[in-house]
Amino acid sequence: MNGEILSTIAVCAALTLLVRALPIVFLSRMRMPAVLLDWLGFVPSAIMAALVTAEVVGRPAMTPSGISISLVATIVAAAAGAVSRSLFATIVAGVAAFLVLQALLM
Amino acid sequence: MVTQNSSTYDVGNEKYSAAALFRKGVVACGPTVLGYWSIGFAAGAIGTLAGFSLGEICALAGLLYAGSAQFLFYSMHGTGDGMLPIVLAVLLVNMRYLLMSSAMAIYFGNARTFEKVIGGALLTDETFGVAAQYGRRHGALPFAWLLGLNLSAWINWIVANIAGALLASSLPPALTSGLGFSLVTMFIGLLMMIWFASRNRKLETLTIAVAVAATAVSVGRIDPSVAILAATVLAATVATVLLRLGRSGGRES
Repeated sequence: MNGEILSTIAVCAALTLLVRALPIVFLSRMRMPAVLLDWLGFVPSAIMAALVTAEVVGRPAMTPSGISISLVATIVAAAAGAVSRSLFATIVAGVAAFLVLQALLM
Repeated sequence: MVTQNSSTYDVGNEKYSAAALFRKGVVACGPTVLGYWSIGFAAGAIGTLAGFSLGEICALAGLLYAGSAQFLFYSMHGTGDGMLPIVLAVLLVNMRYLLMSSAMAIYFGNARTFEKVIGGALLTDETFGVAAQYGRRHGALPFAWLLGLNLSAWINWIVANIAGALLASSLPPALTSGLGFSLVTMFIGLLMMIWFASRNRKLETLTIAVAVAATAVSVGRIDPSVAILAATVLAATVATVLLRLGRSGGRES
């Protein structure tokens, strides 16, 4: 194993650990103001929506006819999620839609 | 509210042993396993193709434990970047965990320090989504449940990385790109489950709309990690302002 790679991994891992754990360790001890609690309550949907959008816009998987397979599969997954209210059904429907569209249109 | 004796937890009106909650946490991880496997497999395969050893790939999967940061690590190392640029880029990509960890902190008020450290150390986009939804439904995050969720995610991730590293070139690229899309569908599913568990769906919908619009206009112009952070901060701020305005308006009328 390469020493520089390993030390780079170690530094990256240590900093990522701090980023992940410090807010839980310190904020959980404090009495946070209500406005901050409200704000943090909106973070889960905001961050998930941003992650989805960044992925779909960044990797649209365009067909020759100009359709974004990622976008269509996203809509299929969302529809499946709305009907089933199941995380598993949402994932399976979205991946299946992506694979089928890719096989048919690309 | 969760109260904890030596071996049982009360969640809502029901009593569970730590072992039962641990098992429930493992089960809650189930739907995300397909995502962990396809992304982890891809990450391990790219590691091998980029010339990394199995040991290094395991170290990255187990210790850094973050898909997008691992992809970034491989590609930057491949283009000859040294330690400092790689560390800074990984830190930037992982900054979103500051927000997620802060949002989780409200459920750790009664937790012991080692529980907080472990709960934070194994935080990922997916476990955050699952845990945020559970916390909202039950008003608490029992440590045994979180540990079951986190450990099964972590182990699946490492095993998938190893499998990808060993089988790098044996899957057809069309299948891997399709499976790669499971990352997106997982985020969609988690987003919808969080929305269904929400008490204020109007503002939650607005949050999503603002985050989508802000990300869509900024991705491609600025670094995607910065775009995600900025869109999250903006959307949560807009929703909070409207929530507060609505409350004070309601009090006056």
